Amino acid sequence: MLGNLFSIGRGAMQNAQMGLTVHGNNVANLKTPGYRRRTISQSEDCPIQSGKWSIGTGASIESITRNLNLFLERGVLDKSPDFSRWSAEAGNLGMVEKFFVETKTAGISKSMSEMWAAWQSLANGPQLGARRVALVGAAQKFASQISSTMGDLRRQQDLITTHLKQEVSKANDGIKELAELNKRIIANPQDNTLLDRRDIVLRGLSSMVDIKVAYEDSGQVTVSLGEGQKLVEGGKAFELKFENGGVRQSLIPGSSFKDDIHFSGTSGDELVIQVVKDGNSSGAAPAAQFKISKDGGKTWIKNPDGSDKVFDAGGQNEAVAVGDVKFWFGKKGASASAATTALKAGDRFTLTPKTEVRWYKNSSTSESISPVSGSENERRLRGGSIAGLLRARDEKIGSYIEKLDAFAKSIAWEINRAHSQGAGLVNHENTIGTYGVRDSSLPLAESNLPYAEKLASGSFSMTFYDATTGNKTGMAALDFSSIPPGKENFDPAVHSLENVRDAINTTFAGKASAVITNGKLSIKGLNNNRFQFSNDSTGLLAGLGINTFFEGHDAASLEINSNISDDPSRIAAAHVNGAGEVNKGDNSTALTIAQLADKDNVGFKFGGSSTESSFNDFYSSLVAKVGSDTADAKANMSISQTVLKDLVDKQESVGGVNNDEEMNAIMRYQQSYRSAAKLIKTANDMFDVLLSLK
Amino acid sequence: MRISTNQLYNMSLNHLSAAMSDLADATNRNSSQKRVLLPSDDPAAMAGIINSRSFDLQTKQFIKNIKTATSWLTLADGVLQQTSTDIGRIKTLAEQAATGTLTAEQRRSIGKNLRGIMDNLLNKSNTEFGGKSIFAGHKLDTNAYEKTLGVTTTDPSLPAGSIVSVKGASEDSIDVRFTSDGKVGTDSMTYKYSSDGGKTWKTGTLAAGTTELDLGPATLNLKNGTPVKEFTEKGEGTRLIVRPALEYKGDDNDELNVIKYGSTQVNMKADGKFSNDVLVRIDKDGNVNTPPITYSFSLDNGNTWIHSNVSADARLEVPGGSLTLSSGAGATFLKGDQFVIRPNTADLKLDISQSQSIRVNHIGKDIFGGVYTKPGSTDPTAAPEDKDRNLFETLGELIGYVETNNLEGIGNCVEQLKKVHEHVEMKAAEIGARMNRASSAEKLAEVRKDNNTALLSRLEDADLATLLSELKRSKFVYEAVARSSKMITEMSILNYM
Repeated sequence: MLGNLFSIGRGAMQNAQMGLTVHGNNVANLKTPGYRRRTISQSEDCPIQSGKWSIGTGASIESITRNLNLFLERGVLDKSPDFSRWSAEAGNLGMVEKFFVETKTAGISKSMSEMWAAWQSLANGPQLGARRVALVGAAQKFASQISSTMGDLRRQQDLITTHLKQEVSKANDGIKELAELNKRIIANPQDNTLLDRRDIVLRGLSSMVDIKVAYEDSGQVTVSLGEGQKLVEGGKAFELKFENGGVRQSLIPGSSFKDDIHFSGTSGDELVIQVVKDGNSSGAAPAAQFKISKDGGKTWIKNPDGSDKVFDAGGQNEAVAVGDVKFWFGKKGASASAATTALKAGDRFTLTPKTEVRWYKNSSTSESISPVSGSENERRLRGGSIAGLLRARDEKIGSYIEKLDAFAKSIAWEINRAHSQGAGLVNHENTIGTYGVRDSSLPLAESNLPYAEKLASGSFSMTFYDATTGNKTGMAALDFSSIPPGKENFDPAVHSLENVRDAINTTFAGKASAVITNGKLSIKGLNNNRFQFSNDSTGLLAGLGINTFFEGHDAASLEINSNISDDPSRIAAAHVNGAGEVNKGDNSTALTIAQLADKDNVGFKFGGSSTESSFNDFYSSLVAKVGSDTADAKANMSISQTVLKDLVDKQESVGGVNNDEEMNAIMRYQQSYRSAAKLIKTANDMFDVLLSLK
Repeated sequence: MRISTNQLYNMSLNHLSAAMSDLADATNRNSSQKRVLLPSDDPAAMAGIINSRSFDLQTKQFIKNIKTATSWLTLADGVLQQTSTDIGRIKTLAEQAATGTLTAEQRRSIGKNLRGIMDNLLNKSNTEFGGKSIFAGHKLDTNAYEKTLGVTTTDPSLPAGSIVSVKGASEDSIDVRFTSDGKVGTDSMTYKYSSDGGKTWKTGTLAAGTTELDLGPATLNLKNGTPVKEFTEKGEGTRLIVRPALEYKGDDNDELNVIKYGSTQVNMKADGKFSNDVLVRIDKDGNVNTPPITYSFSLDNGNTWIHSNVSADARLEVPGGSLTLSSGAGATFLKGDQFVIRPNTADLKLDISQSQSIRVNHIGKDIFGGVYTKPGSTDPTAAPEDKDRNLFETLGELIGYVETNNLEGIGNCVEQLKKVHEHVEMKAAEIGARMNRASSAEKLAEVRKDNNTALLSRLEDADLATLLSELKRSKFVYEAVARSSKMITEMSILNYM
């Protein structure tokens, strides 16, 4: 019985030491991230039977428990992707919305208003040089505001791309580490340190992509994306890659297509090109027909009447433009050579004109997991910072870029269209177009002119003046009857830039000559003739960039025509009047342009859709869109943050170390150590008494 | 609930930083006094703010335009008031000169007086506003009027248009009388002329084959084939009075030009008052003799079209007037054929609101008259031809009659002057009406500007009281959180061991 006392005491002292170690370790790891407090479970040792009594033999430690609520942890892993997605979006959009803030001195809307005011001011004094210089300044400021905002947006996209690269590589590190941890845990399922580490890595991974975790009986975890793609299975790690998109084909059985789609430009949209009618892809009749979807094949780009829009397949000259991206069919690896094989209905192409995140099943099979703009698609990321960054870059900033481009394109067109009809203070000796075509033998409607679709049938007039006296020497309308099919009027579907050149040379023989250099048309006065343009019903002058105010056709390239910034007297405030005169006091063109500020049916085309409004309304609704996107992201972030914080908090409440509690436990174990020691001493004393009996 | 030590510290920290960020936000708003700083603060309000600010700039520009317009018009109004006074003086002098008892010498002195008034009126019609002629149409950079010579005839049988031109300069009116009959250009004829009201005469011969009369300082060109008669003492025959005239050098709003784009051979004519070019496009093949005609028109040279107009006859209605097609070298037209109506334009208009503009300059000849060389012709003619609306020609003739002692002519001029006076008064009233329009537009613009400022303030400005109380509150919250955090973190069991 006395021996039992020693044994009980020794056990108790060992337990107390163990307790002190465990709780001491808790105190030491107070600030270790992911550390879950350990507690000791003790149990009574097997009692011994002595007579009719059952006597205890002390206690021993059953296990060291890691305090974690698995239910809460699942909640955290479930909610964390949501939070990090919105946090990534909110962070980036918060930067972007600052680009659209209108201050007292700067801002696109303000500088646009100032430009309209400068046109009004020119209309008040059309002959004054100072007003012209002021207008050039105002217009330059406006154009540079637009292009610098565009630069800021592009830079933000680049920053996001860099960030995405890092996030994807971090995610891959996490995936690999989890596979490694799985291997080690199966060998040592009780290792709390490994389990702590695993939970940290899981939490980290869940902040980058949305994951589903299955806890296996073996202690391993199987991790897959919320959309089903496996990331970790046992010791096997799958890989995510951040890479350039491009064109991916998925041909139906029986399709003989061997060529490829080529494209130019970049866009946040992923295009699905679905062939709906068999035919050639070379541009020769019968052409194959296809439809285009921007949301992964859910809906298709529509005609105004609501039916799906069908496009004809063809080569580079028949390229189809969607937003800033143009694509066409051609030989594999040779974009300029026509395709030779035919398409079959059902052939499908995915065109990704941007970088994207892909999931690799193995080294040869992969699929895109980048979210598609404007919709939540299956098997595409829905949560995590990677989804948030991709959405911010492609869907949000991408659409702002398209709208800003549409805005710049329309404002340049509307002003140029009016300006090209007008006349400046000096007659032209020589005008050079700013917009060029790639193939000058192609009908202009099919050319790559930025405003090709705006051209219409009709003609324009040129009035000639003697360079010395300034007297009118003649006026005539451009006549295309010398060009097949022999009609007087220009027809964009028939006439090429070369035809325009020849028509000018024939109509105005001896007075003006036109040449094409680098695809751009230039017109020169001959024999001491100077000239002015008027009544262009075709849009040719504006479309070719002749006698225009702006050059460039999108936000990045918009700038004032260098002819005008060099010599503001070329600003067309006047027009050639009915008497064939250009008068200094004529402000009609300046007034027409100033009144564009209130034109409420300006057409804007962006990414396959179009709308009509005034310049100001279009721009302010863009800013409102940026604002509401940002506000949404911020609100969603704060909601998901509250939920997530609550779960993390609850888990911390279960597994976090509390100093007071640990001190308490330490004191308790200290006491029990002391008591156990006392027990041994007592037993020893008893033993001494026993020995002194002899 | 169990609280871990980390939780305790994190909680304090979170609360502190939340209170701090509230405080920073409140300070920010307080310093800018704005409720909406970023688009996401209130996206809808932000759009409103942008529109409202641009409306503000635009309205300010309209107010500037109205002020400019008012200055132009006030100046013109002043000139016309003075002109009206001058006409009164001319009338008085004309009535004096019409008195039969006056001697030729007295009339000549009245003539001098009238010449002085004419010079004065010339200066007035050449009034400039900041270097811009206000009565010269679009030709702001040239004088509206220049002094020249004109010719009046007392021979009612002389065909209209017989006098081609008169060149040179003369300080006095020249009385020219033919002394033989004949046909200009065919027969050799004699004439006499006097530059001192008939005191002394010089003679000259118009040789066969020439049409130009030499009158000393001036030459007078007659139309080839004009029949002339010897001037008799009874006052019959051909008598020409070369007298001063003022020539309008600005431009006009009168003519309409139509050009066509396309192969059609029809003739076209536009009627109406157009302020800018109008483009008309045929939308269906057809024939002028078999209407209806389907057409579209555009006021911005084809950028936007107003479609689906159908005309029951060959007259196509367009804003400002109409275009009439008629059968010419051909009668058919094709879809896509276009016509451009190109008016002579001389109006300088300024926008005074989103939808209204006001004309600030004037076409001198429509107010003062005078002679005018139409675009395309070589010699000046009276413009307007209706003498009742032509102050300068009436005055010129009056001087001619006064200086050549022609009582009947002076009498006619007195009658005409009354009508001319009415005409000028009417023009002055027109300017007055436009000034009224400008001033009411200015009031309206000021009201709209103020309303807009109020709207803008409602959209973006923060309420000062709320702002201050928010600032105080967030300051208070921050201090409270800091104090309680300190208390909580100080607590530990160690303090009691």
